[in-house]
Amino acid sequence: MSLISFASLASALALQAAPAPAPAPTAEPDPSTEAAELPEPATAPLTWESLPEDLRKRLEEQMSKPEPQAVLVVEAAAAPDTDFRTLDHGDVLSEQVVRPAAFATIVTPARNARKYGPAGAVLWAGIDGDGDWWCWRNGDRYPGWTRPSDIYCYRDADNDGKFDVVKRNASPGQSLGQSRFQFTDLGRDERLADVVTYTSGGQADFAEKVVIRYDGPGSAKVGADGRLIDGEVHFHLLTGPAIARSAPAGNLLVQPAQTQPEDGLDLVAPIRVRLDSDGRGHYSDARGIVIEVDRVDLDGKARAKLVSALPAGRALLVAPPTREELLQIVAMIMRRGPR
Amino acid sequence: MFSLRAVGAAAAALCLAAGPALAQGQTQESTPFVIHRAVSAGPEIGTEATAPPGQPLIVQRATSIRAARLEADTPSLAGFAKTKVFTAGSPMFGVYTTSGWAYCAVAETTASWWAGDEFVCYEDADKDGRFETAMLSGSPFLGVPLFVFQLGRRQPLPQPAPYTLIATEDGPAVDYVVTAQVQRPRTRDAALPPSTFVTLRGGFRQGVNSIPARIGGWSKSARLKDGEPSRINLKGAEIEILGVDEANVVRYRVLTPTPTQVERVTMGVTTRTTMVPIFIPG
Repeated sequence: MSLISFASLASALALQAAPAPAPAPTAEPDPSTEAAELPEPATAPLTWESLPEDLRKRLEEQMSKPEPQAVLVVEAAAAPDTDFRTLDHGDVLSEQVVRPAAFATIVTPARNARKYGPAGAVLWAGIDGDGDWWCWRNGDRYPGWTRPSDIYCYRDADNDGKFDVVKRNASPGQSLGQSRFQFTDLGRDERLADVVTYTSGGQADFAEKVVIRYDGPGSAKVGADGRLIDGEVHFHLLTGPAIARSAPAGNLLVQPAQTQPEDGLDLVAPIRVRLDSDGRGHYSDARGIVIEVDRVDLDGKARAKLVSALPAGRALLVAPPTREELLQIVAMIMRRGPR
Repeated sequence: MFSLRAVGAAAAALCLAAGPALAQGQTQESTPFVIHRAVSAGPEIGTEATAPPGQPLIVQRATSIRAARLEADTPSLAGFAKTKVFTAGSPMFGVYTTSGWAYCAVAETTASWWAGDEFVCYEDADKDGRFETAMLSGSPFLGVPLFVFQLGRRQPLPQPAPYTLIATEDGPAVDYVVTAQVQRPRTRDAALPPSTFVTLRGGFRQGVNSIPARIGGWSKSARLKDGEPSRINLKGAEIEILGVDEANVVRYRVLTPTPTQVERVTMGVTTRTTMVPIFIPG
């Protein structure tokens, strides 16, 4: 979930604080209650139905809108596995090429062209809950830049050929930092007074990879024959230029914090596959990813099969939050109490 | 500030800067590990026992899901006042790297009063059965020699070191301990009898003399009613609390030890920077 949606959810809850059922931890338990638990809050898990009506409506609205991200087109569907295969931590299940779904070009740029994009700059398609955006960033020195440049996204709300809003993501390195054009946050309104015009169409050779990689077991019980049951096994959905880079060397005075070489991929989201009491799991989501797991052994090796990765065509990698995720955030905010 | 939390499907915690203090958090998921059912220390199943405050109710073993053994004496490349060579037969526990596994051993300090233990993790990138690189990977997180927070820089070994994989349960182990905490919160009404609560917490420790590092979220509480035993189920372990005396010594019975299970935890490091304005006169 992106930073912005969490903040808006927190403010939504602040407005709803009074009527919401608040299982706050009590330091002085009521002696008449049976088997009260202390110091954790009430053990009854929060359910979707127990949330107040208007909070549920706002959360459902958030779930139905797309998260801020670049709009992608997947070049080709991945070939599904014919049979289960053995995977160890780090093994790749599928690898696909993605590009921006559409391009536009700036006709009349802003005055500070170096910051906001010069005339002829190619913008790629982005999206968020408000609608379509066209994004640009200064690509000088890519891929050798020391830190990713800020991403500026323009929006033409009334479709008159002139952009009405410009938003700036000043910290693109916080998420999907290695990507040339992907992001998970539009950022803040720049309040740009200049009128920037554009035309649709353009060409830029941005191509990145989307990879599904096996991670390993989450928490699970161990069955009789050594296979994991009643638990979770994790895969990672990753994206990025996939250009391997060695770790920065540093010198006597400065030691960089990052000591591991980069594989050129950032984590978009974990894929959590639930294992049933036989140790088997089946996962499918709104993106079109379908994975089947036959067994996971105690040493972390899994027998799994890719049924389908992202289908070819237009795709959005960052999925809106599910009910379970929102419930957990609501529960966490309630546990922490009002701030 | 260091913390260990249970990994769930929860969203990442956020730190918002407020006022002159700035907190930055860094988290890392641990490699999955196994808590083994076999009890290392604790009463016979079903028999009554007592535990003074601080003594664990039951001790079991935890190992990483992958383990290996060095087949030849291997240099540790660790710094001053630490073990220089790992002898053949030294066991190592598996740790995730981005695309594979590294196997770590603890280079123990030979001057414990001023230097600590350090992880040395070996990697076999080409999977030929011999390690080519070593990484000095920091000190055990919260003193538990199973949690590696961040792998260090790769350094080539003078010559490749052969190793073999061994069974999960034969790898280096840490203690998984269940400890009890007694709370008697004060009630407003003095006429009501005070209530007693017992909280069981799961944690990890290096050995008998170490303080356990408790895992946030691995705890369960129960209220004790006079004379009645109370059952608590913590991660599958069934422990019956029979009573608590004034010195907070817990009388208990273990009905079922923690069943064998795979788990992961999240290690968190929060750095808090506080800006303090200094007034310089003149």
